[in-house]
Amino acid sequence: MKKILLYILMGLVILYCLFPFFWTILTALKPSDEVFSLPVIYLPKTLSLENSENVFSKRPFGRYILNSLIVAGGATALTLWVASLIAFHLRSLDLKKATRIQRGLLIGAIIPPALLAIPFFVVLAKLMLVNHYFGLILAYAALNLPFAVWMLHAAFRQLPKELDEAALMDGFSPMGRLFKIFMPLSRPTLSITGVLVFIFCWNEFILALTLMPSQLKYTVPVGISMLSGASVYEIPWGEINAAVTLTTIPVILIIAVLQRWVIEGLTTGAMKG
Amino acid sequence: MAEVELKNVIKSFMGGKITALQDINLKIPNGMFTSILGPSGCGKTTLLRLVAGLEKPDAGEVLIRDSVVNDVSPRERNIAMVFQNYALYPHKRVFENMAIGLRLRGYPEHDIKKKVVGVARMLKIEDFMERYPKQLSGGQQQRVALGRALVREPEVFLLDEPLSNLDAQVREVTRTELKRLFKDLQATVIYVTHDQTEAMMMSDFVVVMNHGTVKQTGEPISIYNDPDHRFVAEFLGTHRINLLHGRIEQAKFISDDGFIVFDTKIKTQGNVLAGIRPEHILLSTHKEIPLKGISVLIETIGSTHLVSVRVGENEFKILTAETPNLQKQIMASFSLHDVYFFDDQSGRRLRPDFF
Repeated sequence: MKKILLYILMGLVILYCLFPFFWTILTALKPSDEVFSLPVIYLPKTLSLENSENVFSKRPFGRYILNSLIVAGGATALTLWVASLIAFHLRSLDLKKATRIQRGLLIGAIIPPALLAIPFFVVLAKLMLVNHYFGLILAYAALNLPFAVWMLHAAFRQLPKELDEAALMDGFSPMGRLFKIFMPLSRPTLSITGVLVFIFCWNEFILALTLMPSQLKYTVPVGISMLSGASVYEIPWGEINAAVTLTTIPVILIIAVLQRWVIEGLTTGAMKG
Repeated sequence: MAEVELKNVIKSFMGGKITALQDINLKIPNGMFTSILGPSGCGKTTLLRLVAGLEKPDAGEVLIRDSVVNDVSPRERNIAMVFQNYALYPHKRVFENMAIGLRLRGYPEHDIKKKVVGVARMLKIEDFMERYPKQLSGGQQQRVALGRALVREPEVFLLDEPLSNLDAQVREVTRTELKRLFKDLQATVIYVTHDQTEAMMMSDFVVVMNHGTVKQTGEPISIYNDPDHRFVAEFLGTHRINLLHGRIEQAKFISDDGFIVFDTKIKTQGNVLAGIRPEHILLSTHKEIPLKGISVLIETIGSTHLVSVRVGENEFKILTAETPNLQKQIMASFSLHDVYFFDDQSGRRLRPDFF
């Protein structure tokens, strides 16, 4: 009885969470006259790919997706790499000192990204990196580092000290210890951190708009916001929803791939002993 | 193979708040199996880690083969260590766990294979080479950890309580195997343990430590038979030594309760502790100093029994093959030459020729 109730409640929660996404997909698949029809048509009578085609034909949407992939992928890789180096060093310090440094980093993370848009722009303009992928990658990495360092430092600390010392005696160089011992053994944390950083970068809007303002450098969120109809009063809901649906797919794929490692990590932890 | 030496080594932690080692001077002989024995927190592991290079001494020198290695990194010291929790790489197969040290030192691949397989055969783990550490039992993991050290053919082996995570049966077998293995290798081994049985059974040389100082060094049997310090007498021996509070007046020992009085050859006056091992007390009157009391507890250990006998206000443990009855009058005796006297304050051994 208790179990059934639990399942019903769980079902409701899932329904509640997934409904907006479901609605997005349905709207994306509706022909344009059905999108605006009143009373609202919940299930489209005919499925059409008209909206999706429009997204690609009217705008260089493929290019936007590519931009987003480059920026989010690059920022994730850079963040994980730098955070690993920092966390590796923090681990060699005593816990008190390391925690103090980490807290300092967190102060940076408290500031909302929107507030940093202008300072970032000024700095990157001086570096001639506005409208460059690398400029935005740098900004995203800076924003995500405190969080990534926090996660990886915790993961590295969990590895037994003796493992590191055994590696030291076996003759590993410091970088060898980081890349051959610490990182492979922290794969679950690396995956989770990577996914979260990637999603942040994939969804980020203000900085992407500010730091890469040229049309060809739009990332997906910026590109979607710029979708417009024939007149300012017409919002192309069908196309917007089609764009959103299409851009969710890469994220889902990435999570699906990494999930294997996340779960693998969880079970190895459980099997130990 | 090489000799290891520590000269005036001092080490403290937490910015000097905790002193781990105070002024250690120690020579660990070449080619011998040396045990560092002491209770937990006595600094024995710190000492090992100093030799390994995982810790730096605050002062003093660590020497391996007559050269100071204070500033030599662990990987350049030509040592290998077996950790208490084995510290195998969980993401690498057994073969790779053992081979990695050689690989990082640039050995050619066929050499690596030959060495690893040779050691694996010696340790009887050649069938597990393709497994991951977590697919092995504790005893097998322990062998792999040992194998990882052996393939390197280091000058000094450092073993940090490698048997303490094994269950009793496996531990006993492994103990014998380890002793045989290192005897054949004639390697310099530093073996840290808190288990005096292990130290006694396995070592050629024992270093007894307490509170960050070396209390006594020597062959196991000489330490056992001739302890320099009350702590050593108490710590060694399967059955705890009987300690009797009393004083010496004009070369006569008088126990605090006045029940036990006998002549000694000690010239010192004052409060002392007399120590007699349970196996040195006989349940007969053949020895010169008699002991008369009531048996209050009998603990049976297979073929022998540990009998607790109450004499005045003291209780003596006596190891015997006979089976006495409880609550019976017991006549026992021991000889003066089996009694150790220790200074009550410092715990130092008082010897007949003390001054």
